[in-house]
Amino acid sequence: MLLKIVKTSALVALTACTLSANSFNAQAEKDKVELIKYFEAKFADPEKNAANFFPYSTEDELKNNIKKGIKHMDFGIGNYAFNKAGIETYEEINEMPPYEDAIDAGAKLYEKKFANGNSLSICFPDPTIGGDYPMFDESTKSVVSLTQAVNDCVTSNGEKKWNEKKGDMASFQAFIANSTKEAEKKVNIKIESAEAAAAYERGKEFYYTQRGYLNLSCATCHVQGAGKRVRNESLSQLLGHTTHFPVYRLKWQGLGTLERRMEGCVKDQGQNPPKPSSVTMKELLYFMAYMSNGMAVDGPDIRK
Amino acid sequence: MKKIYTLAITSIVAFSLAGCMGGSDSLTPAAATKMDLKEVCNIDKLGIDAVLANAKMYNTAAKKEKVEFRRLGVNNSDLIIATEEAIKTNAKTVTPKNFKGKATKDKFPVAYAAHRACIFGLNALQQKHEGKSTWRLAIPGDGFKY
Repeated sequence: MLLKIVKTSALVALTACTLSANSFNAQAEKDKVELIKYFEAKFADPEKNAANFFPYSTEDELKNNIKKGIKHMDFGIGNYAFNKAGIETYEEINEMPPYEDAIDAGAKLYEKKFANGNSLSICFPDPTIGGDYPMFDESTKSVVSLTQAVNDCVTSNGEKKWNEKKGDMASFQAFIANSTKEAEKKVNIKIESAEAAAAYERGKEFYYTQRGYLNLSCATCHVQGAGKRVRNESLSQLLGHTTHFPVYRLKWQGLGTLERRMEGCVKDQGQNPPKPSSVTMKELLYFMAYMSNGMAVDGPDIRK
Repeated sequence: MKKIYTLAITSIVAFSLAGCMGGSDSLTPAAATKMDLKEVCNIDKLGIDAVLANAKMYNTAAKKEKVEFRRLGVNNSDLIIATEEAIKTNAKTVTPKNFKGKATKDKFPVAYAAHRACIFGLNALQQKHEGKSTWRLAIPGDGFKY
């Protein structure tokens, strides 16, 4: 009898916990589903739906440069999901990827001993965790980005903090991303408390708020503007934005972290951007990464 | 009785002044929306020094709100600093430094730079306030319909 009561209580508690955990990410799940629906509708048939989604594009470009019938997971490769001209160049460059040396350098950094004899491999025993960041740390009630986690490890072992945008940080993250990709893991961002949900909401608000002297939001270009052309470039879509970082950008002539790219985006809006490890930046990345939940991690990669 | 009356009047005046002075340091985005850009940044009407002082006040508040504008690598605060220097040295043009502290190739007439700095400062605050009520309009499944 007693055993029965204990079993029932445990089951009720477990169910309550599960329901409660599920409810914290309910809004984020709804946002993700709506975003997927929007992009699938937008790229179902761009030529046919030009008036609604691509009012300023030419018939020729809609017919010859934008793929149609793109589904959720296809968006994981960024704008190459729809950009017919861009994918050719992308595949050519990827025949000899310029980031391979960085993966090797990152693997060495993983094992390299700090002055105290420890190494990054002690902080990150499993290197296939690229899809789990940014994560919400329930003990500090704050978002932790991979960049911050790496620097926390480095500095807690008495070493100097790494540059958060390039160099060793980007190489190490290339190794993490590649290990995660090889393990065929997916983006797996969790929202398991009210505080985590609030952090997600703040990130979402930042993403959708117009800012800077150009009065643009991130969404202006990467939700409503996705697929449209700015000069000769097709704007990429929010869905799948975080799956392939760090990236080797031709513009940078080197590898950079997601924070480096986001700083550039906010700068392009005409505003002094948030610092890479600021709360604002981490919460922004938390929201963006959640939108890519379930997609395959496929970094590092190349971008223009 | 007279003493109490004097003390009360003095206190009211002192608190009012403190409020006014405090107000300049803590201009909120909501308060900024009530201001007319064309009035408070009007060099012909107010003079360059007053407009630059306004620019400084608005931009300080914008920085506090983390919404300072940056154009072509130049933060608004660097534009203000360069304009102040130009006025001090009687220079005809302003050459601001970029956010890394390096000299830029940009050259602006002093009045133009002061006017822009003022507009950028106030605009950033007004935008922050407006953004609070408009951001949801861009979310698929929420305010954005297609």
